[in-house]
Order: sequence, then structure tokens, then C-alpha cells
Amino acid sequence: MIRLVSENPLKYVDDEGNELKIEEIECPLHKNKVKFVRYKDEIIMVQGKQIEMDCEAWRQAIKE
Amino acid sequence: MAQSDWNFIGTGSWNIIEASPSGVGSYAIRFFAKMHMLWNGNANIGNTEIVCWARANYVGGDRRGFITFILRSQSLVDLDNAYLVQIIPLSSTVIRVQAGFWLDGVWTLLGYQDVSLAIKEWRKYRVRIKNYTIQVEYYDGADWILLFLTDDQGNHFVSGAAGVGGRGPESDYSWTDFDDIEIGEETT
Repeated sequence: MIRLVSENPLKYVDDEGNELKIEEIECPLHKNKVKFVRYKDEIIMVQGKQIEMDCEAWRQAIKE
Repeated sequence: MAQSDWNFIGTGSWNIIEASPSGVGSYAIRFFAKMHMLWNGNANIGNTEIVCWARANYVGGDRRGFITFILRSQSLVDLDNAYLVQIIPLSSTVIRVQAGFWLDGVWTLLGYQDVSLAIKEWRKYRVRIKNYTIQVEYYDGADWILLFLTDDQGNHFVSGAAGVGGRGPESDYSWTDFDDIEIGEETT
């Protein structure tokens, strides 16, 4: 589980209360900024344009 | 509710299927891909409840549907400003219950919880927002079982209405079924 504890500045914690690091990338396809966290081997989008919710381009860019 | 009580929006399609999880009536509605229907009526979305039967497709990969609940702000077709609650299949037996909001088209995740529960079976779900606390439950035949609880500390949206839909990949394999949808003010 992760949950938002502060919107400004953006801050998330896991179920043990540990703060998760917010990272940011520009989508190479749409040129939008996407904020994400890494949690349990997953990349979780936490903030960004709607179109990025389904976009694989920025996720792939992180892996590369 | 009649069809005219709803606005159908999104990319995808919908049709009527023969199914009756509750034993009332003979038909249910099926959404493919990112299709939603939003109730025409206004509600206080800071204090709203959606109850419905739902199920979604999952056979792995892109062939999965999301069960989606939308509590939108103001305009009948405004998906740029809304709360979004999603039940997403991670496997045939594990779902992710996720909540967040779109504000001027920008998504912010409120949180999520992974739960052991099959999404392909018809279940009765309840999504409640009261004083900006978002509660997602399902009915096990005797009690409402809590799946996820979070809150919107920003108290973003006050008025508008609510709806349901799918939000799976853009594929005919990605479908979500609903039946006996009730939307109203949360009173308890």
C-alpha cells in the first residue's frame, strides 16, 4: 500500500510509514513531465497528465 | 434509471449483454476499453455513494478490464476534474484498489492497496465519499468488507455527479460489466 500524505510538496509513504522518493522524467513521446515512485519492484505514476497513465514510453525510458 | 439518464463518453464502446447477477431483470451493461457512463443528475460528490454489481475480464496481459468509478466535478462530460476509483486486476486472484483525482487534466494518486480477490466474478461493490474520505468495499453476502480507505486532504471537488465505466487497454478484449447501479447521497 502507498498513500499520499502531502500534496504540496508531493509526499507518499508506504504501509510502514516510510517516505517514498519522488522521481521525475519527461515522457519521450508526449514531452510531459511525469512524477513517479519505485515501490516493490514497480514504477508507480503518482502525478502527470492523463495520457501518461497508459503510456509505456516513459516507463520504458526509465528501464533504459 | 433510463439510458437518457446517462452520458456515454470515452474511447471504446458499450453494449447490453444477457446477465443478471442479482436476479433482478435479465440484462447488464458491458463497457469495452475506456468507455464510461456518467449520471446526468447532480450530487454532492463530497458525500456520495455508488453501489453496483460489477465484474471485469482478466486473462493476462492487455486482456483485462478495469472496474472504474468516477465522481466528477461540474460539467456532464468533464473528465479533467474528477475523483477516480479503480479496481485493477493484477492477476486472476489479486486486485489493486486505487484512488486518485484529475485536476485540470493532471492525475494525482491518492493511494492504492493490493488485495486477494478475483475480479472475474460478479460482486457487489460500494464506493463512498463522505467528508472527502473515500471508502471502497464489496459485499460478501453478509457484510460489507473494506477493500481500501483513503482521503482527499485537499478537498478538491464539492459538487457534480458520479458514474461508472471501464478503463482497460484499448482492446475489445478489455471489458467491464455492471448491473443494478445505484447512485445517491451517502447518508449513514
